[in-house]
Amino acid sequence: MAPGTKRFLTMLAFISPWIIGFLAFFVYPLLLSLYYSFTEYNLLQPSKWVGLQNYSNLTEDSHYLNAVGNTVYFVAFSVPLGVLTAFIIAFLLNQQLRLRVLLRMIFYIPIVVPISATAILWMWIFNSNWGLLNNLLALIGIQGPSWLGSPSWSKPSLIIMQLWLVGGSVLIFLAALQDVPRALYDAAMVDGANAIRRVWHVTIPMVTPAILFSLLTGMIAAFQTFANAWIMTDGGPIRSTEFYVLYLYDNGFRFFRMGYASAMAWILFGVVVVVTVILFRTSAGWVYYGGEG
Amino acid sequence: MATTERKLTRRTFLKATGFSAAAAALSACVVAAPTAGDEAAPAAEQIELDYWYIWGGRGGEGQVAGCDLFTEHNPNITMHPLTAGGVIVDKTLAAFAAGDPPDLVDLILCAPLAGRGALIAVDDYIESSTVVDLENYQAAHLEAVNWAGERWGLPANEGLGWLGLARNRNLVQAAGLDEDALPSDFEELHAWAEALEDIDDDGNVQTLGMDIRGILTYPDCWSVVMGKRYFDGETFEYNFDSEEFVEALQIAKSFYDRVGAEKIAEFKASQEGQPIPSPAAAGRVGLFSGGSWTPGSLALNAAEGLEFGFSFVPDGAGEGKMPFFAGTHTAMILNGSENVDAAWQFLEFTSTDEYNRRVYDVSGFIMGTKSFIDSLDMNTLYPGLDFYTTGFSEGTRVWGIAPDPNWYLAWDGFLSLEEEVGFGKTDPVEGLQFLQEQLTTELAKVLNA
Repeated sequence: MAPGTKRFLTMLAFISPWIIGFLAFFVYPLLLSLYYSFTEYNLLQPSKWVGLQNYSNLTEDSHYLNAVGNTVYFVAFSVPLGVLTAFIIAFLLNQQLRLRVLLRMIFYIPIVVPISATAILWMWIFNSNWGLLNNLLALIGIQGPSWLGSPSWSKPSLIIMQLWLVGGSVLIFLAALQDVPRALYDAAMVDGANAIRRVWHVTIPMVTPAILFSLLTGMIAAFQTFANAWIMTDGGPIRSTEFYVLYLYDNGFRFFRMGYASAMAWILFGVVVVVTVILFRTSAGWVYYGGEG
Repeated sequence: MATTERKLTRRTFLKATGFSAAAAALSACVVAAPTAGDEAAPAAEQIELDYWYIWGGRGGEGQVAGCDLFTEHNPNITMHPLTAGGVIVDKTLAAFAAGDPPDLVDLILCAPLAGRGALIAVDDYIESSTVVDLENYQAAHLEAVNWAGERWGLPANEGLGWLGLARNRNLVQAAGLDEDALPSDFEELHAWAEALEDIDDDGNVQTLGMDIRGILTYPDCWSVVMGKRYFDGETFEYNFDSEEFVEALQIAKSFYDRVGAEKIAEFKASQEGQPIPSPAAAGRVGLFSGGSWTPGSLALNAAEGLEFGFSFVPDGAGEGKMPFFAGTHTAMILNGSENVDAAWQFLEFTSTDEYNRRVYDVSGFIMGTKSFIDSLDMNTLYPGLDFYTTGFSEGTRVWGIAPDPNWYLAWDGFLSLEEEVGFGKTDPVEGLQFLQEQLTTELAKVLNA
C-alpha cells in the first residue's frame, strides 16, 4: 500500500466516529426530510408520495403566511438592533472602565443561562401588573402596556428580550475592537478627526468583519427562533408571535403533518441560504479585511 | 531475609482493574441457589410495560401509585410510569416513528392515534372481560374512546364534567343579583356580566364581568352549548361551516366587545393568562367557565372568604336545555407494544374502584365511573364540586369529546379563531370556512390512508 493511501486511511479511521455520526444523525435525516417534504407523512403511517403538493398548499395557508410575516418582522428588527446593541456595549466595555472584567462577565452571563429560565425571567419582567418593566415605567409616570398580552406589543416584547442575549456578539465585537491598530486612531487625530469621526471612519470599518459575522449568525438564529415564543406566548395572542419554526413544529408534532412541516423546513433552508449568499455577495462592498490591498 | 520490592506499574494496575471488573460482572450473572419454595412456584415470565401520561407533581404521583398497586396484584408485570408532560403527543409520535413506542399512553381521546393506525382496538378484550363493565362508565365519557365504530381504549383519570359556569358569589351578592334566577341564555349572561363589571375611568378592567376564554375555547364545549356537534363521528363530517358555530363565535365576540379585546387581554395578562383565575384574580372575575378541577383549585388557591357557585352554561341553541360537556382522559394500548395482553390487564385494572381510589388518595383525581362517584361524598370535598357529578343526570344535553382524528388541529384552530374574531381580525364566516376546509382535507388523508 502506498504511504499516501495508508496515511489517508489512517486519517479516515481516526475521524470515522465523527463521519459516522455526521452521516447518521445529520446527512441521513436531512435527506429524509427532503424526501418527506414531497410526501404525506404523519409519523405513524408510511409516507405517501404527493409531489409538490405540500409546497403548493403552503401558498394558500393563511396561518403559514402569517408565520412568515411574523418571522420577517422579527428578523428585520431583532437582528440590526441586536448588532447595534452588541456593538455599543462592546465599545463601552472597551474603554478604560473600572470593573471592566466584571462588566464583561455580567454581559456574557445571559448566554450561559438556559433559554427556558431566561424566558420565565422575562415573563416576570413583562408582567403588566407587577412586572419590573412596568414598575420602572410607572416611576417616570408611564403606564406600561400589556407586553405579552397585547398583539401589538407581543413581538416587540420578544425583540426586547432578544437584546438580553447579545453577550456572544459583544464578545466578538470586543475582540475585533481590540484588534484595531492604535496607529490608525493616532493618525486620525493628527488629521483633526473628533471622537465621532474616529468611530465612523476608523472603528466601524475595522470591525466590519465582526459586523458581517454577527449579522449572519444573528439572522440565521432569528429565522429559527422558537423556544422563547413557545414558552412565553405559545404563538399568541392571536398568532402574533407564531413564528415560522413554531408553526413548523406544531404541524409536524401536533397536527400529524410531518410532510408539510418538512416542506416548510426546506423553504426556510432555501431562504436562509439565499439571504446568506446575498449578504456575502454584498459584503465585498462594505466589509474591510485588514491586510487587503 | 531480604525482601523484594514489587513496583505497581500502570500496566499491572490496569490488568488488575480489568480482571476485577470482569469478575464482578460474572459474579452478578451467577444464578442464586434455589430454595425449596422457589422450586414449587412456576417461573412467571417477567413483563415490563411503559406507561406515559401528562401529569407531573401530585398527578404524576397518583399514576405511579396506581401502577404500583397494579404490580402488587400482578407481580410478574413491572410498570414504568413516565411523566411526559404537555408534549406527550409530540413525544409519543417521535417514539412511534423511532420504532420504540410506550405500551400504554394516557391522552384526552383515542381518535387521533386510532385513526392513524397507532392503537390496538380493545372491543374483543372488553367483550371477554369479567372486570370491565361499560355500564359503569358515563355514556358521554365513552365517546372519547371511539373511532370508526370501534373502541380503542378506556376512560381513565380525571373524568367528570368539564363545563360549568362558575360565579363569584361575593361579587354576585354585592351586585344584588338573584342566585335563584341564574342566566339561562346569553342575553341574561350579558346582563349579569354588566352588573358585575367594574371598569375605571381609563377603561381599565378592575373586575371582569364574564371571562369568555375559559374552557369555552374548546370546540367540544361550544358544540354542546349550541346543540351542534362540530364533528360527526358517524358520517365523518365537520360542521364548522354551520350557522351554529358562526353564532357561537359571535356570542364570544360580544363578550370581547363589552369591554374591548385589548383591555381583556391586558387584564388576563396581568393574571399570567391562567384559565383558572389566579389567587389574586379570583376575586376580580365575576363569571367564568371551568371544569371539574375548578372547585378544588379555587378552594385551594383563591383568597380566603371567597365563595363560588357552579351552574350550567346557558343554552345557545334556544331549546331551553342545560348543556353539559363530559370530558375525560383515556388510556390506550399502542400498536407496537410487545405485551398487548399485559397492557390490557392494566387497562382493565384502571376500571376498578380500587385503582381509582388509590389514584384519588394520592393525587385527588376523580374518575367518573358511576360506582366510584357513588363511593365519594362529593358534598364534603370542595364547595361546588357536586355540580360536576349531578350534571350527568341533571344536564339535558350531555355530550362527550368528539371522536375526531384531527382534534388537536381543530382545538388549536378554533381557539385561535375565537380570539381572532374577538379582536375583530377575522370574519367568523371566513375563519370557520377556512377551518372547515383545512380539517376536511386532513380528514380525507386519514380516511384514505
